[in-house]
Amino acid sequence: MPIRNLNLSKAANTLFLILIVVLYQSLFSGLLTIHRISLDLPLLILVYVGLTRGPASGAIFGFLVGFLLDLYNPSFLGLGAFIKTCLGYLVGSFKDNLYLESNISKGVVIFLSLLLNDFAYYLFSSGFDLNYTFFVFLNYSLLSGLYTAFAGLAFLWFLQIRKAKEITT
Amino acid sequence: MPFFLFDILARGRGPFLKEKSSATFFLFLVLSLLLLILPLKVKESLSEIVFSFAYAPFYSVANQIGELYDVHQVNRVLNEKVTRLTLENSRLQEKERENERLRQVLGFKSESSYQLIPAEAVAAEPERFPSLIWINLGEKDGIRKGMPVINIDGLIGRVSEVLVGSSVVQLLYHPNCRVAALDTRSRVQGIVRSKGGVMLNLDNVPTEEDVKVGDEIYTSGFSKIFPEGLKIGQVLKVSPAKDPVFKIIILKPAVDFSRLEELFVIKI
Repeated sequence: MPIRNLNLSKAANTLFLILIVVLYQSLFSGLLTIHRISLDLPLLILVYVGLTRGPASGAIFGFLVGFLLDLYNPSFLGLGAFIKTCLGYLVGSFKDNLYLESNISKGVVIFLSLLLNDFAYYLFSSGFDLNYTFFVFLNYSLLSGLYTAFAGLAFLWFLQIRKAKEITT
Repeated sequence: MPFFLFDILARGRGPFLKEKSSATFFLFLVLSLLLLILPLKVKESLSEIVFSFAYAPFYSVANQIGELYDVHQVNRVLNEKVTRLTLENSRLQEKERENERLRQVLGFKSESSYQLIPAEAVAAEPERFPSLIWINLGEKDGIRKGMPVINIDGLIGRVSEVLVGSSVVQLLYHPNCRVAALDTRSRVQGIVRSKGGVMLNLDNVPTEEDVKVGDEIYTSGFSKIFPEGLKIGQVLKVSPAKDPVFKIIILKPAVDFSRLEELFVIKI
């Protein structure tokens, strides 16, 4: 079974990332929300996991994160897990196809992932009410996608600058 | 072609990978589908159990830190409010006595007062457009489905799901929420509902009716869910009559839904 191949450090790393998601959702998500435009850190981490570890890890992490977020709305328990499992697998499939040094490519993947995630979630949860879905999508998801993609890029650039400084010293 | 698109397309391999990854993917996909098809009661119980392990400790810590941080400021505001309300209360008691006396003279029955159960909002839907919140009271505290929920500013919504130790409150923003309402100035009646966004709509008001910007909208009590006299909001905009039958009336909610903390469930 593929799960057996997960080594201990990978599992610990996954648990650490899950803890970040839980901490963010319970403590900080409100602080980083501007006029209902929120930073989707769970999705950002999901894209990171998918792009660095591949489709299997992306699917597992997507399921776990989706399940944790679904707990807020038990009526749709499983919907977020389903969508994020697909998304994690899809993003993970790009691991070997995406030029990983290009930050802009990663930014585009983050942005498109969030749009895909939101569109699918609101479409299913509203019972295929296209008006409601497009309203939320156009008013909130697009801006949240940009916000999340720029936050992700800013973090990547910060890491690169820090790395460059370490090399020079 | 932008170079990042070229980046994606340049590598020859297709996106769908090895069997190992596919097996994991399908396993978790099936698990998600199993969760989706569980009966609602099971979903609720499962959510409550996992939520209490995964999130509740953090929410509890966050609430305590937040309370400590705000305590001085809140205390000052509350002192001010208590003084003002004490004065207002004594004035209202006097009015109530007078009202009761007049009712007795006219032979009216006394109005029943509502019992308020204090509650706390412990979590909100993690959506960009939340329409559900969780409160810390459930079936064991006497909470029942359909009970209205208010705070000091006005109506918040109603209890939509009751679990053992917590409940889900459907906010006025919820697509399924409808409230029978009236304009306190002109006594015009309508239905308050959300059509998306942070504002509410007062529907079913004929074009010839008198509703003006600034009018206050309260529950009318005509629906059996919400008692009368709960503040919903204020008229923000009355659109020119494009519709030959009904006006388009936008309300600013009385409650700041992004800051829901201390709430009251009305026991009816």
